[in-house]
Amino acid sequence: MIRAMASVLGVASAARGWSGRSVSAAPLFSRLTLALLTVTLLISSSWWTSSVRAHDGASHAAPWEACEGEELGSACVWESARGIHRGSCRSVAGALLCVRHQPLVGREAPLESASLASPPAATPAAALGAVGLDSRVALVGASGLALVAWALRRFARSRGRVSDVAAGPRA
Amino acid sequence: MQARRDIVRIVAFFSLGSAFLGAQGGCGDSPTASSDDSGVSSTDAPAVTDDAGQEVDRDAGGSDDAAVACTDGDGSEGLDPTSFDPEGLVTSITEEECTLGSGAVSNCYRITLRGAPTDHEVGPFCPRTITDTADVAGIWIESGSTYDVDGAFIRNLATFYSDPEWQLYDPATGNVRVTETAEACAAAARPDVDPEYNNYCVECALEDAGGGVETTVIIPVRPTARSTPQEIGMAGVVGVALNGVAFDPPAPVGAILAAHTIAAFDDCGGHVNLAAGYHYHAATGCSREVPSCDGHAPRIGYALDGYAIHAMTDSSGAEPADLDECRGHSDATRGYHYHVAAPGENMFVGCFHGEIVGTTGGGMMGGMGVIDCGAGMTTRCCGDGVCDGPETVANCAEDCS
Repeated sequence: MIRAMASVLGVASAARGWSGRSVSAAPLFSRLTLALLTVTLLISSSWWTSSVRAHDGASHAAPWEACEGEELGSACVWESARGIHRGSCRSVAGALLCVRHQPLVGREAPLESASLASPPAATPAAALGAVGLDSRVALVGASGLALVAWALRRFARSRGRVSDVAAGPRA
Repeated sequence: MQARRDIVRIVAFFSLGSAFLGAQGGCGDSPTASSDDSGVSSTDAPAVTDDAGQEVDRDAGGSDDAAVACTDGDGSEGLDPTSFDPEGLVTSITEEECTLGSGAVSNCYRITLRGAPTDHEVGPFCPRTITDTADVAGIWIESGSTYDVDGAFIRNLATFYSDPEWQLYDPATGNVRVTETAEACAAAARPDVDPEYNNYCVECALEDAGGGVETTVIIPVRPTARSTPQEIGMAGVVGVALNGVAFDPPAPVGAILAAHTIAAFDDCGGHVNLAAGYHYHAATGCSREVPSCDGHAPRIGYALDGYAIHAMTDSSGAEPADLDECRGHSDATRGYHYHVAAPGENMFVGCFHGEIVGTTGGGMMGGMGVIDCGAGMTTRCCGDGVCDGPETVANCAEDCS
């Protein structure tokens, strides 16, 4: 797959272009290809980085850990993919548990509707990964559109040049 | 010509790039990238559908809101026996004299729960293969969120918990290891999991629990507010749903996770063990509800102190902002009442605002809810030979010595 992509991209010719040789064959496209490749690599790098971050795992003990070392009734806070949980430490099953009694902070929609429609996010890290993926998709899409627009402009320009040549010098 | 070649190359680049991204699926070790409503692939973690149960269960015809007329009260508090589904109870609710934790003598309701839901199916819980989808599996509760326990979830547990020891399936066949017999259930569905069942998805059939374990609760007829909250402590039950299923308190899951087991819930937030039968750990909208005419969250049950328990959010999706430490508040229509937390929080009430029968004890050794075994009562009562539920050496030496 990667070899096929490289072939399509014309990486070898692009490299030649940047080295100053064979530039006349496809000078602009070579630079563009390399730029595109660079952007792609940056996006991929960001993607893999956040994938690793998303795999940090879940902490099942967070609401219990929030009250470790605390006293009964103490204010407590812990964070989940859904937001910040604020409450007080109550005695449950032989330990202190952070019982949320304030609305979640950080969610953008009412909990029930959000729970049915929001992107999955196992952990805060995973949530970041999901957001990152969204932005990457948007970036790729925007880059693609810009590239197509540029190609169309270039195509139209080249057709114009050919027409000009065919028509000969204007008087 | 050059421009045409460029266009062809660009189109080909994006086509191959899209195929490459699609093949990667966001994460190499996630198998079936499930898609949520937003269309974003959820491959960074096990297939996740927060509160998935709500949607599934309402569609499955859990509670029949249309059958129960809405009610608005006059601010009076206390359990309404008529709001229970009679099918969910073993016998009619009766009144008897009782002694509250404060020592005061009061009148209480005796409610014997059938221990099996009357308004929705039980299960499914664990998937059977790592390719099973969410419709044949239940949910798991973790750190404030709920997750579909589908095949992808099972397959990705090692990543999810950052522990390579997780392996709930046979890599050669893709079959998930599930406790499929009563013996396996008995050995695995407990805090001290039998080592033989490490790395199992734990589920128990309701039939293995006799079709439902009868549980008797004693609830004051008229709630009495305390000056300070009563802690849940070691209580085995915190309340009852209107369909005759017990609301259990949150339980630390460190021990069962250490054994690399998950005790999956069905989409209604309940599961079965041999001691308690079917019981809820989350309110997902399946059980019987009494709607509020004013748009307040519907009533779904009662806590052991006699105050009503309502769903979390009102008709506009908002959660009350004035809840106290027990997750309760008062208004002129309902008086004091509780609101459950989100399904992923595994919590119905945070503590008791009112007096309960018995106590949970200063050392968290409970007396609450412990009653003498009556005819046909086999568990969660003193005298049945089994130390379970709220029973301890302190309150039931004959079972727990």
